[in-house]
Amino acid sequence: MDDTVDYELRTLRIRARRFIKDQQFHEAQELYRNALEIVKKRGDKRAIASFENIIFKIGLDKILVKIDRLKKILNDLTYNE
Amino acid sequence: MYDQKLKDLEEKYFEIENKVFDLQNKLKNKELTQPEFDTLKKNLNDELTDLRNKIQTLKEKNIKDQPNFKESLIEQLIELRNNFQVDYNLELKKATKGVVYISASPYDHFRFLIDFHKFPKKPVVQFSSEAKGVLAGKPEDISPTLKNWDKDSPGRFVDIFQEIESTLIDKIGLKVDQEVPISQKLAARRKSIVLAKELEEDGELQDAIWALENALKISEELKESDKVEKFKQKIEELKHKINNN
Repeated sequence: MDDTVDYELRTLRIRARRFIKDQQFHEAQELYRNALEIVKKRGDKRAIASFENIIFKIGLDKILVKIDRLKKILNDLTYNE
Repeated sequence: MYDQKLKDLEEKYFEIENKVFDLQNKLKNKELTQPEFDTLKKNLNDELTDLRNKIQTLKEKNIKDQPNFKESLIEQLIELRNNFQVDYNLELKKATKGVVYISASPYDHFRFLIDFHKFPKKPVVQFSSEAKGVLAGKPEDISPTLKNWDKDSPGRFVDIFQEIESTLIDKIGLKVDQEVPISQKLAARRKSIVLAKELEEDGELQDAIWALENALKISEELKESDKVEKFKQKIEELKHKINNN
């Protein structure tokens, strides 16, 4: 096992999880994309599937945040004579 | 596959967003009657709710589609055992807890309990008394992996213990190749013997053996054959007790 690569992956995962907690989804997604590239080079199919899933899920969270914001805008619209 | 799905959902979102801004403009320019506005607003709200529900369902399905967590847990347990000395409470497939042994130096040994029965939720890590004496704070304060645990994307158990090991080594500050004074070796042996007695009294026989083995190693280094024999006998006695239980 390559310790340097493992260390890098571990650091990426920790930083990404921190971003998710702060709802900084774009930054988290970028870090997971970097992690995905690393495991692709390694040819670790299981890890590739796992990171692709995570990136997808973060993408869904990003849209959910936008929907909630838009719902608020819509609910604030009131009809004035 | 995932990219296309996301693209489709985003397109749907932007379609609704345009409609909302269109409604906003029409409202501003007074181009709508109240019933028209109410209907449009309700329809858009419904569309947004539908899209939200669809995404939520996909997200839950996505979690279920994640690599089999049971399988992933077993991989983690094997990885942990490959890196540290670990005793699991049951055979690997059924294990729910483990005791991890870390040696920060040839004379400083520590035990940690990890309870992972709720995996992929955050495992519970507990410091034993000898570890508490060196590590101040909670396990979460020492291990970023534990602190930032996310059940949807679980960290690695091995990372938790590497982080703890690294802190222990920093605290103990002893280089492996450094010559250790005899007084320190004797102190370490005394500590191990006391710990072994406590553990035996508590019925933690496996851990008591581990503590005695640490004392045994020191006695071997000091070439104290009588003590070596004594520890060996005691270890055999405890092993016998375990087998009879």
